Amino acid sequence: MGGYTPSKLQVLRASLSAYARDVLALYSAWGFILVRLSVPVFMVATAWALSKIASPSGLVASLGYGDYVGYVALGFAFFTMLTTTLFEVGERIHREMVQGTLETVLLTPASRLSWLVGGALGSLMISMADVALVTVYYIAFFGGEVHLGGAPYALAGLLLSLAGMTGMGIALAGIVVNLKEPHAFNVMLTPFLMLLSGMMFPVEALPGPVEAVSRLIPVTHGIEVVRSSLLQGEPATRLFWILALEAMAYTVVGYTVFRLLEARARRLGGLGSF
Amino acid sequence: MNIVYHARVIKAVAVRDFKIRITYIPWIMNSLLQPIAWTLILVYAYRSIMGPGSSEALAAHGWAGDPVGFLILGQVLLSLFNALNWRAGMAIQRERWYGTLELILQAPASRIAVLAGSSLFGLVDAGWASFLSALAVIVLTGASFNVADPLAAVASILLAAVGALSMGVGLAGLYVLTRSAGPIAVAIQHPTRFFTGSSFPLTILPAALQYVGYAIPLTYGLEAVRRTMLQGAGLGDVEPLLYRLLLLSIASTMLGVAMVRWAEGVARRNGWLHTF
Repeated sequence: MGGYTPSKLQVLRASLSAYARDVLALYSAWGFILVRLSVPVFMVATAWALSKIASPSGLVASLGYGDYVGYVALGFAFFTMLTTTLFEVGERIHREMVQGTLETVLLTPASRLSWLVGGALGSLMISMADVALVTVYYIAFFGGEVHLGGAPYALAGLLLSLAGMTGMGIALAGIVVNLKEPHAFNVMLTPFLMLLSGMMFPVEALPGPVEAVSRLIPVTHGIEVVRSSLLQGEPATRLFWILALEAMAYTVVGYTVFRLLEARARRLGGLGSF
Repeated sequence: MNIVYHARVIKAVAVRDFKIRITYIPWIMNSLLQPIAWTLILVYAYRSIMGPGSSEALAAHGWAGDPVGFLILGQVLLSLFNALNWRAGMAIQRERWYGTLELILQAPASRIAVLAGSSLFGLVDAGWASFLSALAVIVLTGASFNVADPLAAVASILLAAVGALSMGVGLAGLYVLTRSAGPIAVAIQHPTRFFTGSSFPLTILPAALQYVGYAIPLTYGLEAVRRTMLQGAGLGDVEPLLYRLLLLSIASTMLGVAMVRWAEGVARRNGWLHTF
């Protein structure tokens, strides 16, 4: 086949730049900035209120987390980062559909995976701001302390979780191509991921079978590594292997599911309709 | 225009909203499942921080015993408000999104009747979803209630729903003159959750923040419903709460109606109806 084929890196850069333009358009409405600022503030404030009824015999305290505000603040910050990445990958296809550019994107000789990962990288950069905001808020208003020595471990755990969540997101993108209602699906999924990830409580509190399911989601182990590294200064390095395995498994499964479902949507002629 | 005419407008808007609603099945599932997940998150968070049988701290704030019922009722009423915030609050803004705002404004129908139709459908729609979600969590957690005066409980629930509705109407005017109506509607849910004490007893907060909570109608509704359904309170016990709730609801509704009229006037004068 003749003609020009862009490299994976070029596609990634183009995808990132398209994402940046979408974000700029979105945040030109000040309400979106308000949402971005108010949600973390009230989430941490709620944790502070709940900390007033915490008991030393509670599960959170017995696991060595004396400060419930920090427990939730870090849980929320990294949960947001990981799930935003998950949903950005999934919703990217729908956005292209709505904008009427999906067929064009799929017909170009560019790597679809790079295109999806580019969007995920863009959302990752934006959600870094959320993490910074929550951390500053936690330290400034609640006198929180984090073990900076644990930061490299937290970062490693986070990167492994991100790889797993991106894999899940790619699978989700394949589902979205066929479902057409990604936002409703994602809005519905978010509180269940909060429930299963242990964002506000240790997953050990969940009933056995539910806890087992929660441990299959990369965000659960990711949050655990981040918390143990930054709040206790004792990184749960035993989880790195599990995270690495999950990252590989989800990437392979995600890519396979996406290709299969994309092929199905092409076969049934449903790519341009939603 | 007589009352029958207004009633027909209210019915037409409610029926139209219903037809649109059933077109989007994932959003209906969302209304049912979201409150279940949120309540369970709070139930497990409470269990994890309080420890087994350790609810002295909660009892010190006037809520002894299992907090599950406390959380279920908080989440049900909050979900009702959230739904009405989108239905009643966004009634005018939604017409703009659908591209039908000019038609509505040119029709010889009262804008308040349109708002009432949307609110009425919102109340029914959010009501059954909240009820079913609460039922599911009760079955899952085995929560128990203590209702000594059913009349007081029913009156509290109905007035709490009126309070939630009045807040939705109260916010409607706020959403007309901005391009950020959708995000504001999302953003407003979080302070409401915090200040109404839906997830924890309001007395936990410092006094200054409690004042904010007691300026919101839903706070009184929550308190009355919890007292009648969890502590066996009678009508006499919650009467002062219900009076305040009613007063604030009337004030909120009047403010909302006045704001919608004002915003419509400003938008018409400046040619802004489709700007946002």
